Amino acid sequence: MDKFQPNQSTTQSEIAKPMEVKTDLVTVHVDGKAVQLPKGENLLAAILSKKYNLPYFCWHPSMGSIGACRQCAITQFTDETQQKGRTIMACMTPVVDGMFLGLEHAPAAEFREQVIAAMMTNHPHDCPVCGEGGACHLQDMTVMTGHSHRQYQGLKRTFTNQYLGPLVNHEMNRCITCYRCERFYKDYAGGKDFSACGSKNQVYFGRQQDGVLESEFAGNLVEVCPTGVFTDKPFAAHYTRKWDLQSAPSICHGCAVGCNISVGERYGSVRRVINRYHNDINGYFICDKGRFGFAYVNGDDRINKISGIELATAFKPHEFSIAMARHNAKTTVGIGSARASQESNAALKQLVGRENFCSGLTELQQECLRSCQALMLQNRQASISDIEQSDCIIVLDEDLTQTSARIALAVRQATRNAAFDKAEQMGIPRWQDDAVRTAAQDLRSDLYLLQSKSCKLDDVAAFCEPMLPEQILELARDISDFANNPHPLGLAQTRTEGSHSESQTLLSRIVQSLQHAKRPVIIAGCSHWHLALLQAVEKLATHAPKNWQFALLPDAVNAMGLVSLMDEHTLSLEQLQAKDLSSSAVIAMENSLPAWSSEQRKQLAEQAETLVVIDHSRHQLSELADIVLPATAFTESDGVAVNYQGLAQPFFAVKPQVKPMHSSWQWCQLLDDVFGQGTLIGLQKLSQLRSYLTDNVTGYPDMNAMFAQHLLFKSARQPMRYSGRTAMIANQTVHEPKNPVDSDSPYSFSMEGPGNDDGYGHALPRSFSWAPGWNSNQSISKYQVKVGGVMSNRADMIRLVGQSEPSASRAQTSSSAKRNHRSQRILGLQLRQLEHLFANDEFAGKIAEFNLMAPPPCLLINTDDTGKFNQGTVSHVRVELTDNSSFIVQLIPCADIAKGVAYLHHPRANTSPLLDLVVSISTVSDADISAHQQQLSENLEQILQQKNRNLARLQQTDQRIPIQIVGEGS
Amino acid sequence: MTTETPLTKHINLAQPLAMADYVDVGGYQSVKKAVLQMSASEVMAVVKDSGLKGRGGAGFPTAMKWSFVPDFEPQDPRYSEDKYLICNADEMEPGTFKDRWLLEGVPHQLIESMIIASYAIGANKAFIFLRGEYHLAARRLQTAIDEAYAHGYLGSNIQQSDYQLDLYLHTSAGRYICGEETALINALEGQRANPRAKPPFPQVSGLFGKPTIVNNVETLSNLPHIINQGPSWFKALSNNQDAGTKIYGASGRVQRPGLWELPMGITVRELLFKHAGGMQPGLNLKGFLPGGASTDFLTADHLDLVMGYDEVSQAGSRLGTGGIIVLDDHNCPVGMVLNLLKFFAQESCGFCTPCRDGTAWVVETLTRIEQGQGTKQDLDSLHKLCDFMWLGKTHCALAPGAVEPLQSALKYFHDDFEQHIDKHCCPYHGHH
Repeated sequence: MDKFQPNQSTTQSEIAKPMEVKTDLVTVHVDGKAVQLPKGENLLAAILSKKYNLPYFCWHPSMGSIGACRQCAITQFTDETQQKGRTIMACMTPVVDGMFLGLEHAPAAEFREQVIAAMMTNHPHDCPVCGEGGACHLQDMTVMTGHSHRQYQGLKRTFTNQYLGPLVNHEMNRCITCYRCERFYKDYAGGKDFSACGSKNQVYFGRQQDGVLESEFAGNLVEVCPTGVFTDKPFAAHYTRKWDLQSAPSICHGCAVGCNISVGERYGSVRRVINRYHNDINGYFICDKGRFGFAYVNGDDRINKISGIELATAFKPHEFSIAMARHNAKTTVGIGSARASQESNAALKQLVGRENFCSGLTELQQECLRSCQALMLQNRQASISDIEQSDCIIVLDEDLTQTSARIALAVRQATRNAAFDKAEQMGIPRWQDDAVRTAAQDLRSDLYLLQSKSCKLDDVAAFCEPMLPEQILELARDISDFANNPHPLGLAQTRTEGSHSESQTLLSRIVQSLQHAKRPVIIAGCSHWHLALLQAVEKLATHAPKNWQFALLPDAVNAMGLVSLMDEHTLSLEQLQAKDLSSSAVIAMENSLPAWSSEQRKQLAEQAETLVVIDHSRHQLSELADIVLPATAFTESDGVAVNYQGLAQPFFAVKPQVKPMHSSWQWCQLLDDVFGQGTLIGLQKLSQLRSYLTDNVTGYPDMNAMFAQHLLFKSARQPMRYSGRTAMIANQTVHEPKNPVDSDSPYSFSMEGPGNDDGYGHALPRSFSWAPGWNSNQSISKYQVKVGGVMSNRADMIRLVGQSEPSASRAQTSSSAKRNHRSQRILGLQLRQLEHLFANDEFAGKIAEFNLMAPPPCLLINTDDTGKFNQGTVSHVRVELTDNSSFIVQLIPCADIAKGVAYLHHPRANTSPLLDLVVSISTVSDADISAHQQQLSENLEQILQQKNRNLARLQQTDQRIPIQIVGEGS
Repeated sequence: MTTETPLTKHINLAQPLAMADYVDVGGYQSVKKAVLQMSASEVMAVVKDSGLKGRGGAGFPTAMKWSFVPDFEPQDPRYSEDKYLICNADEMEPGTFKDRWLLEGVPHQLIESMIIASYAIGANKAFIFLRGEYHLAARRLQTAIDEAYAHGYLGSNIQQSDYQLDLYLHTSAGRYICGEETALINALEGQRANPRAKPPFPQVSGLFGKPTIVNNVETLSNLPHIINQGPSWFKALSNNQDAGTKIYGASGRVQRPGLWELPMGITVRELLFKHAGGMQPGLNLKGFLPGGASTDFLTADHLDLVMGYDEVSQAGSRLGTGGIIVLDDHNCPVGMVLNLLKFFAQESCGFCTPCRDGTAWVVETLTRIEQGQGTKQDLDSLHKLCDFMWLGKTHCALAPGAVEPLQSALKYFHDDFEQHIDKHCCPYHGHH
């Protein structure tokens, strides 16, 4: 019996916030009707929470009120006779007991119409060619106020637009000057390269000059902007209206945070990703990796054919079984994946048996993830909203801005809690955004960044001096000792005796902050696989006070799910390598084995009797495989991913599968009669598989309860206005196909279905957000209990929690983890991997926009270490690897890297354990440098060409949609 | 009636009094009296008794404004935090140039005043936010500040007391909106000069989030005299219930445009015909803005109006800065209003919709009317815009200030607007 067996909890109270403040409700009369509103809340939020329609622009539930647009004007009457009153801005007025308000009162309604009329003096009439059209908050609000007739006779002002990079388009003429973009980009997300410029009716929002927006959250401008100033550039390149998008709720596969997203599809290609509100996780914002990082699903590298076996053109399961039978081996080994769904991993484990299931992880990785899991099972992993409410955060050796960017955004918000406290003392409500910032100035809650290299949170940190990884580890252990000892400061002195007095001062600062903090959070991650550090944090958690929370962040979307499927028999990659595979079939599922060198992968391919690769995109392992089976990407699959907190979140296919592609679990099921015990035979439906896995596979959460009730009442994936359904394949056939049937999920591939709003109280994630009169995603407030609060029909949460006794299997393997830190020493420098949001996984390299934005191959060193490289005179060096290959990187000296540490960035790091392979760094000739630079510019050229080719291909396929996308059974 | 001129009696525009000369004529006596003999609350009480009201335009009682500065208990952590005094010397109201007279003519008087005010509110840092174009005033103020430091009136232990004050001169980068006190504070902090939402008021959360008082130059300049000569003396200076003297001004086609320090509460007639010498030959008074560009027009019917805060309000305008702008019968009122509105549209900070887009809309409409292309609907539209930009609907008082000359022009000079529309041209064309 695995002692790590998770207890599964479906209660929402597990996730409920202790900080959820109960506000007093008072009676307010709105248009003569008494309603209960929370005292002190701003009237706009309170009124919207009651589902009234009141137009607004500048206010944002996450960013508060500033009173710029004047759109939410209402009348406040002096008494119940409602005769006399004055116009007030709802967003700037707190709820007071006994107010008499008029939303419909004519002077206020006329004023609201005139605000729109004033905005429209300069707004172009380009809705038909504007990317925002049909999902535009300005359109919605214009209709809501009734403004229809233009009276202004003057010319419109015009602006010059800026190039803001490959992700976000800029069309300033459409600007209505609500200041939301600046407030999000600068004030909320901490961006430095964007601001409001100019004055009067010429206020310009942009950069000082053209250039790529630097923030990792720039894509949110697309959603924050109430009109079409900022639009999604890749979406615009292959555009469709919101009402023509087929959408499904999904989970971002970019990291382990598990941000909720909504994926939109048309004509068989995925067009865009937008934020899908979740109050506890991503809220209203996702990072740019989440928004734009899906593009590989449309890429050239997709595997769409079976290779290695001969089959007739149309896929038939029994023919497949017959063909595969020839490759049956004595044993079958399955390699799972941290990026595959929990269903697929569990099905694979069931297929091959627990003795033959390999995690696809190195022992070091396994142990690191075990530490993350330990905190997850203890329920100590803080949610994003927990982090946002923290008053003291310590980040240990992890550049959150480049690995789990959404967490970094939450950390930034947490530093404002001291400001909110101060404002509260002064009687300033927290939604008075400008006033809170004025009152607090630079006052921030404590944030300690214990790191080897500066990061983009430095500007809000109390401490961010770079230090060596060993020093970080030592501090983490000291903090752990402190937590275990009632006399922390005395202890700190003895513990750090002999060490630098600076670190002693730092430790006592941290210790004092922690002592005073009400809700401290300690964050670390897996980007350097710094096991000793993670274990130090795990140890710290065991004796830390209950109010301390943690966030140990794994590296991949379902890493926590994969770990929960591991038991004492599960093979690590090292154990797999040691195994005799000569009479084994090896099934590598959604895993290119990036932890292995190409030598090790070749070895596996040679040793295994048959190597079967199941994956959606070509990679180094699929090239070596005997048989390649095309898998669906997350946009075409249903499944569950377990985030760092242990939340098992479902994601749903946005379009039907095109055979012979199958979800990985389906391949496992199809392979079972040949390679397995036959237990999966007949489990063709996901619901059947889920029931089976729940009963038979430890570590698989019980998802049935979550879905079973919804299968009868399906929600539509397509909006009511979805157009062209009967015409989109008319160039191929005039017969109208029957809609594809999705018998496995609570969503239908059609406009039919109650559209997520079935009135049965079903707890279904929404495939897209829409409400009458609210076409933009700001319609979300209609589905929240209160604005910025929980969803009124929030999906049940399944959370993996349990006991934290260290398991026997864990103790054994941890001693055999060869090195506890993935780094390498060269020239006396500790070599580490440079994290970059757009270049930190194997799929980033398949996205043209990310390739354009990724840094060039480089080696970052401290300025003082330049002497190690030919007296500091070189601009480039050559990095030589064990396999005798080499590459050139630019040598970049910086002041804000710890002395003795070097950060290496090269695209190859995403497909191989690059740091392990480095043998030396040597000088490079001028001729080689110019050849290298030539190569880089050629690469850029190629990326652009590839981007255009890809777009042309997608436009081409729009004309020849696979019938399976729109119709069943042809 | 005695005509005392405490504010201006020591003015010398050619060469203002240096420290020694200023002290010789009684300068800085009030500082010694206040910091050595009076408590801060006593100073505040004297100022309250004097009935001094803000001379920047709003006419808010000065001592009451000061009293909103929170009085923290010594155990409160905010007790030891900074408080600030700011002198609003960003005089940019069209038709108003009174502060310049004081700044250039008697800079020491302002410094003396600011020490009193800072002492009263417990501020140890004070700022003069000076209009950027006032180069001469900047030089003279800086010289005076340096002298004050050298003579122990600024810095630590002022006149051997334990009171400390540092005074900084800041010259504006030049926007009308910086005269709005919260926009001024933002500008002083290095932010965009957008006004702040109120509440919280600057008295609670002002410069750098700390309690801050912003007073006009002329308001402050009364303080030494009030301290020296007492509230009853100050009250007796005026002709009406508003205490003290006022620097009134007149511009436009009068015989002698200029500035005069006169008892508060003189009549318009006295100001325009006695002091400004009446209209230039051949011209008649058509109307006037009593207190700067952002006040409502009054007409020749209001010549006997008393220039006091309440009296002008009751007549439908505002005393404002007391700088009268005269409109004669040979100049086009539409053209004048257009000129003013162009100024306000240009100076809008661009923060709130009614001001940003409304003032520009008015300019567009007035331009067409002035050019003879207006329609009757335009007049309706102007009335609607006046309502659109009125108090409570905008973020600050700039747009309502712009509305005042417009709405009153529409009322008093309705015929002129109609004629522009009916004749398809400006009827004043050629009279200039």
